[in-house]
Amino acid sequence: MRNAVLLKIGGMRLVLAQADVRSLESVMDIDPADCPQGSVGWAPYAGQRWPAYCLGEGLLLLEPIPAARRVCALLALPQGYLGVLCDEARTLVDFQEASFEIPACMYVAQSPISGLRMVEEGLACVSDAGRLSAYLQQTSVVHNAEVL
Amino acid sequence: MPEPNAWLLDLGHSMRAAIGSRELVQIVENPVLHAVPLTPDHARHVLIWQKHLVPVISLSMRVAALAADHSLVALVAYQEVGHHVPKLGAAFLASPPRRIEVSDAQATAQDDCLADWKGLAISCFEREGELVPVLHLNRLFRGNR
Repeated sequence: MRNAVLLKIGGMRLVLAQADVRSLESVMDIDPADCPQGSVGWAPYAGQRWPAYCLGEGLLLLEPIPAARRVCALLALPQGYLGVLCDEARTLVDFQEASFEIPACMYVAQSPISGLRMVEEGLACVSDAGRLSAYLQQTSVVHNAEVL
Repeated sequence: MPEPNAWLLDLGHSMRAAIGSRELVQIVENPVLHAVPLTPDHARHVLIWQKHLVPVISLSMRVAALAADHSLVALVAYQEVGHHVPKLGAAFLASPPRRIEVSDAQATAQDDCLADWKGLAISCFEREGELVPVLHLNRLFRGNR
């Protein structure tokens, strides 16, 4: 058992280990100038700036930022941080690992979701910073190609 | 008098399919569905049934890219090769299933019927002038993993 953080993104709930979420910042601090493809801006943290991404409840990149996204969760990666915008974030104490695997017929290789778990509010998707980072990099490339 | 040995499922859009009489576990009306992001169009939802997470498939979407009504689902059990414990799946229905009797005489070697169902039918039979596929549940819920 360990603590986890529940991010509410529209009607979707995303759970990450607490160790993966380094800080919760305000969306107001995000600077949209010259941001990387697919991101909505730069989130300042630890004297540097890090790309921040806005996702819809289907986990697809979303622009512009909906008014409900008020929090930027900074996820810790070996090479730095990345921001994921959410409506709310709260700690889950003594959270247990995903209790359900993704059913085989629903499996998509690129998905950052490693499992599913019931929480107070309903079903939550379980992921981690590494999977989300890989997914966002890949999705940003596709997103950029579609925009061009 | 012969006993009914199959269930005829109304999948909507004039699509019908059959499963064995022992494969249907329960009909769930107005199920509480949970959408899972980044899943195939035909398998976007799960439901929780007796502490089991059950994938819900839209067969009309899977076979013909047509959306299904979400108000009724058939909960089914199937056996995976090499596993003794049955697994659960579910499929959207347009109306309650009907018990039917299928005999060997109704079996047909219609390759078109099997091809239309993209490998999801284990066989087909003829009923009231219509070709009805018998679903291969293991293949349907196994996916591409």
